[in-house]
Amino acid sequence: MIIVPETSFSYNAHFSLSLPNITIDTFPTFLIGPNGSGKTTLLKILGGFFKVSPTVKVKWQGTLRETRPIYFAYMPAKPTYDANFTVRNYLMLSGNKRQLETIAKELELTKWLGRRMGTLSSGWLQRVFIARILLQDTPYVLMDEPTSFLDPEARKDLIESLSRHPERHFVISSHDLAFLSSFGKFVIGLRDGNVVFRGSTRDFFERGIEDVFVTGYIM
Amino acid sequence: MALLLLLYVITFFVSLSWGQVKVSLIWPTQEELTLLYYRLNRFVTASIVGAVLSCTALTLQTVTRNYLVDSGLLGVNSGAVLGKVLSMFLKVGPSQLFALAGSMVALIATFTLGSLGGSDILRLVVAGVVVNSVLSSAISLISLYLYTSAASVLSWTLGHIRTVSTSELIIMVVSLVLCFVLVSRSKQLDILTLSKEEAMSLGVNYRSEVFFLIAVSALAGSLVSSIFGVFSFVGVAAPNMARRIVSGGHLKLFLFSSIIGALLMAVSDVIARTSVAGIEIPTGLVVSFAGAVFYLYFFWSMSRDYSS
Ligand SMILES: Nc1ncnc2c1ncn2[C@@H]1O[C@H](COP(=O)(O)OP(=O)(O)OP(=O)(O)O)[C@@H](O)[C@H]1O
Ligand SMILES: [Mg+2]
Repeated sequence: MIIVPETSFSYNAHFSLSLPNITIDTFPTFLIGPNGSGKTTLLKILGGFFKVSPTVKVKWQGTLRETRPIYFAYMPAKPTYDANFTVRNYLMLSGNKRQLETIAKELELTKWLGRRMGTLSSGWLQRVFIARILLQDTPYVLMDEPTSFLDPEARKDLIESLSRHPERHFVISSHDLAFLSSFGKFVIGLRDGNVVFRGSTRDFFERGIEDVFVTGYIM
Repeated sequence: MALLLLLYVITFFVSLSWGQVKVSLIWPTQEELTLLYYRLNRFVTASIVGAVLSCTALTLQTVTRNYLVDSGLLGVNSGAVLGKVLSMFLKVGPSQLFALAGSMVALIATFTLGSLGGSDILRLVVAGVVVNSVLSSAISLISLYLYTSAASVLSWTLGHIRTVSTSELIIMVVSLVLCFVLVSRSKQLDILTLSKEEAMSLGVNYRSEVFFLIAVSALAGSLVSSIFGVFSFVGVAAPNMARRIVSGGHLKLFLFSSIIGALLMAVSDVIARTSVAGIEIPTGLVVSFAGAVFYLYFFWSMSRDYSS
């Protein structure tokens, strides 16, 4: 459970994100909204990378605590990595050697483990990033546009691998509505720094979508 | 690895036996022993300098995510030169102390400037550029009024390996210890190759870790340049060659970079001592030249199996 207080956050005069009280209790939760609506900003607030007051609270080991980055595995929209690391070196950064082979197998990465990161295509890189996130032993997972480089087939694989980890609480920023419809359970809709929708995925497609995207948006 | 070590050992023997006079390593006379001691001292000195410059540069390259920087990044080298030049200008000594003070002042100036209005790496790097450029113009200004010693200012900015006194040796040991501190942060450096948020979620206290690493490497670099002057190139070249040879974590990279750095420097020093009869070329000059040629060869001969 993640509890967001009523608060606001701004970088500068140009953009501010206003948040109402939100309790995120159903996962996977999707943050949906057009470009520049504040999805990435909200993800970083949830993870405690940006501080707001009053603070965001997360439930961990039965108690509510002030949010801290270490409760989350975070996948940025454009992860940075050392091109010279092998895939195995990179995955080891998560500190979880025990499950490396299992997760690599799940994502069909086994034969790539010895390759240098700089030699992979964007789609394969994306899988490697996802593998590292799954390997990181945290209760919550924040992902920023994880499907951006994936073809439809790879997206299906991604959904399958994420579904194999129901114990992880995913919060995913995305504007990929097909991804939302097959994986999301709860939606927070953002527009121009305001939360304009909260509800189930089903409700989102029935009535929320027009508040979030411009009227007449065709799927 | 084995090849590198072999090269290094060969360099060791070559550096002992070659010089303006040849020395037999088997049955050296008393006189030759003194000479051998002197050459050994230089070999060790050159190796330490090469290794320190490589380790500090590797660290700075990782935290700034820029493979082309070295320990001069934050102004410590120009600070050291200015200190030295000032001590020549004012005719007070010891000049090493002035150089050290100069580089410390430069470092403090960079950190102060860099933390004005919030602290992040980019600000710090920009502050380093500013400090470097201000100090360089100060150096030029003073050397303009030092007509007679302009040449020695020049030679000093090139970097000179020489035998060291005990107190200088202590300073070098300190800089080596600082390098071990860097090596002990290998795990954190590995994580710092990820984005800031990922590093934070893996438990790295991003800001303080980065500032600690930058401060330690700049300090180690400044200790070296305050004694020996400025060596360009080694710091940039050694880690990049190491990256070509090994893949993966910083522990390995530190090991390989420091061996390569030590090797480059030791070889250059032998060349500097022996190539021209009767005089000694500044080692820094040889390093920049020979190193650059070697670097070019190295990159052209390796297959392009990845790009960054
Ligand atoms: N570091 C920053 N400094 C200043 N403004 C920023 C910063 N990061 C984001 N912004 C601004 O905040 C607004 C929201 O950005 P945010 O990245 O949260 O949008 P987003 O919903 O994730 O968009 P996208 O779909 O394009 O990723 C944008 O107008 C952006 O220009
Ligand atoms: Mg975004």
